[in-house]
Parts: sequence; C-alpha cells; structure tokens
Amino acid sequence: MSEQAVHPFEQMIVVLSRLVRDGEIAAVGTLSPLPAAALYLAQLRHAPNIEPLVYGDPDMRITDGLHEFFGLAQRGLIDLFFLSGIQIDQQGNFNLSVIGDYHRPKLRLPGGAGSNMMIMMAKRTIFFTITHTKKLFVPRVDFVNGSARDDSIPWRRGVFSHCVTPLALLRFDESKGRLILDATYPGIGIETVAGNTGFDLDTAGRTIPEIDPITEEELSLLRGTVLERLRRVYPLFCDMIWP
Amino acid sequence: MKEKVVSAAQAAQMVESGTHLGVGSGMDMNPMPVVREIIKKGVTDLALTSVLTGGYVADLLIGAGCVASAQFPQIVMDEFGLAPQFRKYSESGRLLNLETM
Repeated sequence: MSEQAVHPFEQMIVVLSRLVRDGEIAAVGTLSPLPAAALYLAQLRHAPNIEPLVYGDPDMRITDGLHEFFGLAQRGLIDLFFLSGIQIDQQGNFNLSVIGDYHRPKLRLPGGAGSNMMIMMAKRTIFFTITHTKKLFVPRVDFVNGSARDDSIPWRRGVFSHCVTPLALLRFDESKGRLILDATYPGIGIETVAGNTGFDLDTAGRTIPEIDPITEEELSLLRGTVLERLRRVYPLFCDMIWP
Repeated sequence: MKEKVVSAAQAAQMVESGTHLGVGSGMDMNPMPVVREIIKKGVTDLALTSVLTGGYVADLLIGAGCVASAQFPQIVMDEFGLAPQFRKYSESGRLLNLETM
C-alpha cells in the first residue's frame, strides 16, 4: 500500500464507485466531489460504459445547464443520481434545508434544489454523508425535502438505493421500508456503527459482511487520473484532501 | 431607433423597493455592476427570485438588507460553502423563505 494513509473520503469514494453499474447514465449535482470521483474511478475500472454527468465538469456532454439535467431525469434518462443530507432517518427521509424550527432555524442550509424530483425521477439514488453521527442519522428529520417512500405520490420511478458513510454502507430495504446496515468497513465494528446511529439498523440475527479493503489499483487510480479530473471541478476540495 | 443601452446605474434606477426581482444569482454570469448599483441605491423589501439557484448575488443582496423574501431552490456558495448572510437573516427570522423543493 502507498505510504500516505488512506483518507476516510478515499475509502468512501471507493465504496461509492463499486456501487456503480456498468452502462449507467450517472449524474452528480452541486457540492458532490465524492460521487464525482467515484464515477471517474468506476469508469476506469469495472464500468467503462457509464456516462458520468458531473455538474461543473468542462467535459460533460450537457450544454444547457441544470435545465437539461432535470429534463433528462424527468424523461427517465438518468439511471443513477447521488444525494446527501444533513439529517437522514430510518424511513429514508432526508433533510437539506433546516435544523430546528423552519421559520427560526438553528441552522439554515442551502435547500433541496430539485432533490425531491431527482429521487423520484432518476432510477436510483445513492446517498453519501461525510459524517456518521446520531445528529445526522436521527429518528425523524426536522424537515422532509424528499423521501424513499411517499404514499401521497401516485407514481415514481426512483428508489433510495444505498447510503455510504465514513463508518458503513447502509441500504434501503424496500420490503422492510427502512434503512438497514449492509456492510461495515474493515476494522469498524457493528457496535461502533450502531452507537453512532440514532435508530436501529436491523442488525439482530443478521450476518453483516465486511467491505473488501481498498486495493492498490483503486488507490493509485484515485490518486492519479481520478484526482487530475476531479481537480478541474473541485480544486479546493482536492487541495484539502490531497495537499 | 430607440437607444436601449443604459448604464448600470440607470438600470438599477428601474428597480424600486418592493420590486419582485428575478436575477441570475448563482456563482457565475451575474450582472454584478447592476447589483452593486441596486445596493448603493438603498433598495429594500425586494422579493428575490434566484434564477436558477442562489449564490453570491443572493447573499450580497440579502446581507445588504435589500431583500424581504427569497424564492429559491437552493442558496449556496457552491464549493465555497454556505451562504453566510442568507444563514444569518434566515436564522434570525428576518428573511421570508419561499423555498421550492
């Protein structure tokens, strides 16, 4: 393994990239360096036929900005999308707007920016969070920007696929209608994950596999070609993680 | 033919307090000279619609006390992080958020 220790974000990028399926048209919106890197990495390894639509990438095949982006999703032409949240709950509700009371929030965040439409209209959405705490994984979100399920909506195409965190890989189980623990990172036990999650992850009686360690090939691609491409979209982020 | 080209200051004169102002207010391609003139004019109570998302311009107008309500899908400084004035005004209840999902 390379001399520099693996950064938790590098680990997350690799896990995100392994979830990408070859052939997918995969879109990344604003403020999403981790999934952007994951798509570049997937394309170099197991998924050469994906089309990464990374917002802000000068090589992206989209010329009409967000209009075109959203239009593609509505027409069913986005296979995979990525979202994050400041709060996510067991039912797969996510919050991108406020912590606390809506009109006098403790913390005002940027807002949903079409995320609700995207989770409905992209075929599947993978979530990523840069922390894994009880403040983020809460019993009930303060504000619902979008949801894995919404019975008031007559039709949707999109599903809540997975959630990649610095501690674990979670998966939304459609039959149970809830988020469950899918796999843990090497060296991070189930107790650590459970102790940092504000709801039960359905671990009782289930065997939870460990994610395969990051390979030398993945790491060298990530720190080489992927980083070079990512720098053009997220220079500040890259300087922070790979100084 | 009618001359339509005006200075930034003249353009800003068309924006009155209480105007519903739609402005490209993301992080690039913004009419910054006009926005500065609007702020200098001391306009208040704008209803601001960010086209498409809000960034630097939205935050500047809000922080200058020009905006009463903001209609937006997102207000953020992209890679530079959260919009500080939007936060401050929202958290203290001084900005009506008409948020679209």
